[in-house]
Amino acid sequence: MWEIFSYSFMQRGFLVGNIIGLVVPLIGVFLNLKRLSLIGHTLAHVALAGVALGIFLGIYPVPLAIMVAVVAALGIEKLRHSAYSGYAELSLAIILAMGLGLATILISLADSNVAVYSYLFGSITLVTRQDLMIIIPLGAVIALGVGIFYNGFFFVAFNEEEAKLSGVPVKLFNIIFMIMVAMVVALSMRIIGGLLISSLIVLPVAAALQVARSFRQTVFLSMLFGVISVNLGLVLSFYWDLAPGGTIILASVFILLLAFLFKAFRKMRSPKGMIIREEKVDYE
Amino acid sequence: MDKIIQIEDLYFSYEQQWVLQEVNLEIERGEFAAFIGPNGSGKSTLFKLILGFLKPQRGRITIFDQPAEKFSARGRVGYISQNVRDFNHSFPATAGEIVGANLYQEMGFVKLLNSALKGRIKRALKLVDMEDFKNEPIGKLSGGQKQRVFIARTLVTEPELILLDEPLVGLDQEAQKDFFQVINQLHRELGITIIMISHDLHVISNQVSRIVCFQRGKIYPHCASEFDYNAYLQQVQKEDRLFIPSHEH
Repeated sequence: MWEIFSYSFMQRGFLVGNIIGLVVPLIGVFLNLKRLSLIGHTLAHVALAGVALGIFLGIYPVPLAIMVAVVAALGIEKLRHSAYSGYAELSLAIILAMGLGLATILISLADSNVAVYSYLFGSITLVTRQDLMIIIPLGAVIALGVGIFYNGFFFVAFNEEEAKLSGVPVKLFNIIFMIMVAMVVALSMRIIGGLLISSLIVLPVAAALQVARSFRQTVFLSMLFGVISVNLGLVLSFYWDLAPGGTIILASVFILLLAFLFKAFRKMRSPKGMIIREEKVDYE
Repeated sequence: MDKIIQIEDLYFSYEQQWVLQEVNLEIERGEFAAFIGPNGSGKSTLFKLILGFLKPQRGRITIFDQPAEKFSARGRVGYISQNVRDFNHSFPATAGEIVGANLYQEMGFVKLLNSALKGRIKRALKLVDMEDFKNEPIGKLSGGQKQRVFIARTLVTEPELILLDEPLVGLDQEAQKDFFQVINQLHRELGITIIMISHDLHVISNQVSRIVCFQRGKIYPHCASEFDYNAYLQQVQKEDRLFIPSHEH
């Protein structure tokens, strides 16, 4: 049973996986509530261009991927609030197309399909000491950043206009947040793969939204579901020799299904719509 | 009496058309005033000018003895915008969390709620009789209850003046009655000065202590009755026929 932990590549995989499992849904809560859930997909494609550039130049590609993703994230933020305000998804589509176009050219130049493949679908066995050195500190910075700005991010996600009126520096917060998103996406490519990142941004949060009764609970449950998905996925991938990205995502789909069931069960037990003072039902 | 808002000879235009012209108005501490007028008559614009979100082309606005555009003590003024209910109603937040968000300015560098701030959230919800709903998701509340939560969100900063932009829109008669009960209580018991925008004179005329009429960017600061209001509308219409729009910056 514990054989899985005797391999150093699995130890590294679990360490990085758990950091990703915590941080991706943490950022994902705010992203989904801002209706930007597909940003992960967009930034992963752009980050892929950074990866391909790194491989082409023969250097460690993760820092380049982070830099390219940050520039793209700031581009999305700019487009979202200027040329395409009210059409957030259009800014995502534009940056996605640019990133993918660039990535395609750079991949063909890099001429190393195996390395690019590992960033597209993730590969636990390829997590290196170098990856740990960058993922652990940046993961901690992101978690700390969300902790410090938690209430501000919450207000901006709830109602950007009202937050502005209350003196929240909305523009600055959006920029800081987008930089965090870009970092999270670029870091996660190594383990779950660029094509699957948006799933880890969306699925644990989608499950938490079915169950949670407050914002704090949503954040906590999203992270819990993220961590469970990663650990379950890694164990399954090890024993059944499957791609870890796929098993992690399917584990989070399974948790989402359980959340639907839980909600249906809870609804059956307390049939009520709007809360009426006299008939207040205690959920706890 | 203590004048908390003073507006002198104010002119404001968005583009080619004056939205407000020759506005002179004083609001004293403890008043419950209503800004009445049809859509586009400049009511919401005047709120934004008072709050310093817009700058007038001419004239002066002071609020608590400070120029409106430089006014920094945001907590002394509560504002509930027209769009306050434009939010995702399935947003997973409780009434308490929504109210607490407005304490952002008082949370310090690490933006967390300490026990004193949590006490203020509880008190604010109690003032609008919603303390039992602190942990309820906002989306599960009725329109009137949501309105109370948004009033509590304003109260949490302990304001001396509250500006309400069209607070009655979308509320049924029962919820409107409920709303006035809360607002009157805040006005009478806490002495909070209140200004609300409405376009329905009938609904508010018995509730407020003063009516300010708006019509095509001009105001009449003491509309005592419906008769006054109608007379004022007619007068402005007459003047309009003679009025040649000018635009000066």
